[in-house]
Amino acid sequence: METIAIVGAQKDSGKTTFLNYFIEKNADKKIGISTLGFNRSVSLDNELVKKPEINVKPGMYVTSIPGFLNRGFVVIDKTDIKTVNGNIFIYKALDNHKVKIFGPPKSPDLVKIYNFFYNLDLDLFVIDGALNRKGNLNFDFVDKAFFSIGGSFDNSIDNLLKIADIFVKLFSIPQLHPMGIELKNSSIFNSDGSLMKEIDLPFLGNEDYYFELISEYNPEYLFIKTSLNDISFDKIIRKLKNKNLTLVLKNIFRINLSYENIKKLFYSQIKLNVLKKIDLAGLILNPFAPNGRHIDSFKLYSEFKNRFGDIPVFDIYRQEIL
Amino acid sequence: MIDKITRELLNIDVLLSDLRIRTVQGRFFFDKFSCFTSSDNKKLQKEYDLLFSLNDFFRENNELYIKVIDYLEHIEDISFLENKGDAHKLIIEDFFLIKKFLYFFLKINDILEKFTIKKISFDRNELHKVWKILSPDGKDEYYFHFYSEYNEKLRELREEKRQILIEGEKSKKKFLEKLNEKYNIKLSTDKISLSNYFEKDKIEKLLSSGDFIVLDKNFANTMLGVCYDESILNIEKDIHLIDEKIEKIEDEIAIELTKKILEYKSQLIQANNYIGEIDFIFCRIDYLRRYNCCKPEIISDGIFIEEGRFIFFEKFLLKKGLSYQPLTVDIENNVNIIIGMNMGGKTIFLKTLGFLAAHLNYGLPVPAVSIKMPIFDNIFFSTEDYHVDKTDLSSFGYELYRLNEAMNLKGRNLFILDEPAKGTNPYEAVALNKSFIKYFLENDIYALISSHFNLYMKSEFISYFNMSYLKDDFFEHIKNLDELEFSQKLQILQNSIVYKPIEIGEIEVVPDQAINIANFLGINPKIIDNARKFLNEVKDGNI
Repeated sequence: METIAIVGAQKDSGKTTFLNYFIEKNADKKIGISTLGFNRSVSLDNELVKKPEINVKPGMYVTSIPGFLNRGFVVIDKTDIKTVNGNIFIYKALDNHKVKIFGPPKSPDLVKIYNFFYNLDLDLFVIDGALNRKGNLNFDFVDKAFFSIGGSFDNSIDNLLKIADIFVKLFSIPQLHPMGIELKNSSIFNSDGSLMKEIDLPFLGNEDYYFELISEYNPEYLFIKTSLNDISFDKIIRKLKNKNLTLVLKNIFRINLSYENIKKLFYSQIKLNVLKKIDLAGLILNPFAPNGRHIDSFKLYSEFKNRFGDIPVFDIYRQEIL
Repeated sequence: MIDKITRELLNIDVLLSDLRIRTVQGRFFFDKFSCFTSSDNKKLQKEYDLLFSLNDFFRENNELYIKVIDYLEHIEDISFLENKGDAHKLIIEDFFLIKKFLYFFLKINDILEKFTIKKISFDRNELHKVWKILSPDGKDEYYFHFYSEYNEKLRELREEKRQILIEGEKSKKKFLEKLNEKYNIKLSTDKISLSNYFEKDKIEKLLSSGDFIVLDKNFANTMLGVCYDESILNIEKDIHLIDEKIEKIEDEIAIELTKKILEYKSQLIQANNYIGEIDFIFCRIDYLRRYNCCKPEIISDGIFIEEGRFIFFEKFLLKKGLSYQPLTVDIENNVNIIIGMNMGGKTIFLKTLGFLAAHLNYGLPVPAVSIKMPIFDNIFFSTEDYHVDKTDLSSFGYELYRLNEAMNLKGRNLFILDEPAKGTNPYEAVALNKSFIKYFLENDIYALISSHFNLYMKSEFISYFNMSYLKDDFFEHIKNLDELEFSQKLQILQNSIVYKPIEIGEIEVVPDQAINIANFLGINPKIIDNARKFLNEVKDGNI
C-alpha cells in the first residue's frame, strides 16, 4: 500500500480540491482516505460544515464519525480513536457520494488508520492533512507528498516562489543509511557505524544534556527521534552551527518549525539528513483565497513551471498536471 | 475490606492494575465487583473449581484460548442499548456495534458452551435470531449496511442509480472531450480557472459560446463552469431523486430494524453483562498462567503456604539480578510473633502473607505451589514507617488511630503488624504489644506481629517464628574477608541469609546475631566488645 499525504502550509490552499482530482485519476485503485488537522473543539455546526466535500467512488474507504455518513456506506469497523464527536469509524462507499470526512485529531493516531487500511489490502492511502506546527507530525509511514500553496498564504508570486523553494529544499534533504546501526532512540554516532551513545531522554527539555554529550564525544551525527521545534530552535543554531555535525531526523515531517526558522536552518549551514526520504510528488497551486488575496492564475502557474521544471505543478482549477 | 493504606503497602492496587481486563464490560464488572468474604467459602471454592477446570480445558486446547482472548479484544460494548426505548431510532453505527458484538459473542459462546459459567434467563438461540436480522446476506462478517435484502425496492433503486451513474459518467466524459476538442483546452472536470489579464480572449470566447458560465470572478481570475446539455443535467436530477427515495427507504429500514432489535433488548443487555463476567474469568486465567498460580484450598483454621511468592518483590529482585526466596510456612495458631535480625525479611514475610491472603478476596488464583487458608473479611496491615513525613500526627499516633479503627471491624479479620510501637520507649512498647496480643487472643483474631522486643507470653495459642537465619558456615566463611569493602560485605551477608520462618520455642525468642553481624561489617572493635559485655549482663539479669 502506498501512502500519499496532501499537505499544505495553510488552510484553504486547495488540498481537498486536489484530492478530488487525484481520486478521479486513480478511480481504478483501492483507495482509503483520511484526514488530519481538525481542530478538536470543532463543532458540527460551524467550521466543519464549511469544509469542502470529497467525491468518493464505490469501493473507496473513508473515515468518519457516527451519524455523519447516513446512506450508501458499509460500516466496516470502529477504531479506538476518540474525538469530541465520538470514535472514528471506517466506512466503505457503496456508490458515488460527496462527503465530508473526519480523521484523527492527532497524527500518531493516523498510524492506526494506516494499519486498518493496510489490513484491508488497499493500493493507496491518501491523507488530506494540514501541516500543523502545534504538534508532532508522525508521518513516518508516508511515501509521497503533494505540497499545496496559494493565495491564502501570500498574494505575491515572488514570495510564494521563495516559500516553495524552501519546502522543495526540505524534500531534498539527503537520506542517510547508517551502516549497521539500528536507530531506535536518539543517538550520537559516527559514519563508520560506531554508536557512541543512545539517549533515552527526549530532546525537548533536555537540549543541554544533548549538547554536553556532543562536546564530550564529538560525534559526526546526532539523531533526534522526535521533532525539531521552534521552542528549542535558537539553542540548536547557537550550539551546533560551528560543529562539524550532521543532524539526522526520521523524515522531513519531523521538522516542525515555522517558515522563518526553516529558512534560518538552511542558512545556518547545519547539515541535515533524514532516515526516510519522502518524495515530493507535486506542487499544488491555488490562486484563489477566501480572504481576497487572489493571484493571477496564468502567471502563477507559468512562473512555478519555470522555476520547478522537474516537479509536477498543478493549478487546482486549470486541470493541468500529472 | 482492605483499606487504602493496606492496599498500597501490600501492592494490592498494583496487583489489580496488573490484571489484563480486555473489555469495557469487564472493567464495569470489576468496578462493581464485591470482594468474597468469610461467608462465601462454598461460592469461592466453586469459582476456583470453574477457573481451574477452564484452565485445564484450555491447556489442552490452547488455540481456543487464543481465540477467546482475541474475541474479547475485539468485542464491542452495547450498554448504550440500556438507554434506548421505543421513542429512539438506532443509527447505522448502532446496528454495526450490535452486529459486531454478536459476531464475537456467538463465537465465544460456541467455545464455552459446555461450561456453565452463569445462569442466563433466556435461550441463547434468541441471539442467533438477532444475528440473522442484522445479517440478511448470510455472510459470516460483522460489517453492516442497509442491505438490499431488507427491501426489494431498495435493490431496484440502487441498481437503477448504478446504471444511470455509468451512463452519466460516459456522457459527461464525451461532453468534456467534445469541448476540449472544440476550444483546444484540457478539461477533466467541469471547472476551469483562467487569468483575466493573460487569457482575456479565451474567457470571452468560451463565454460567448454558451457552453460555459462564470462561477467565480475576481480581479485576477475568472472561474468558468461547464454548461452541460439537458440530458446530462437530467441525469443529475434523476440521481438526486433516486437518492431521496433511497434515503427514505433506508430511514424506514432503520425504524423497522430498531423495533425488531429492541424486542431483544433485555437479552442483549444480559449478554453484554455476561461478557464482563467472562472477561474477568479470562483475566484471572491469564494471571494464573503468567504467575504459575495454584488453586487455594479454603479452610476454616490455619494458614499453610508452600512457596508463596510476593510477585512484585520477586520481579524487583530479579531485575536487580538478585535471587528471590519464596515463602513456605505453616501457621496453626491465631496469634503469631515474628522475630529475627535486621534485614532478615520479617517485613517481606508479613507483606507476602497479606498479599497472598488478599487474592482470595478477589477470587484470584494464588502465586504459590500450594496454599490453604481461610477467607478474611478484613485484612489490615500496619507499619509506622508509612506515615513518616506523611501526616501531622506522629507516626506512632496515626498507627494507633488506624489500629483502633480496624479493631471495630466486624467479621473474620487478619491483622498484620510490622514492629508496632517501635518508635516508643521499649518498656511501654512491650506493654502495648502484649496488650494487643491479649486482645487478639480474646477476640479470636488472626494476627501476625513482627518485633525486636521480647514479647513472650505463656499461651498455647501463640506461636513464635524466627524469620531467617545465617547459613551455618557463615562465620567460618567470613573469617578471612576483613579486607573487603563495606558494600561487598553487605552483599555476602545478604547472600548468606536463609529467608525462612522457623517456628521456635520460648527460650530462643531474642536472637543475638546482630553484634556478630556488626562485627563482620567492620564496626569499631571496642564498641563490639562492650556490646558483648552488656549483652551478657542482660542475659544474666543484671540489667
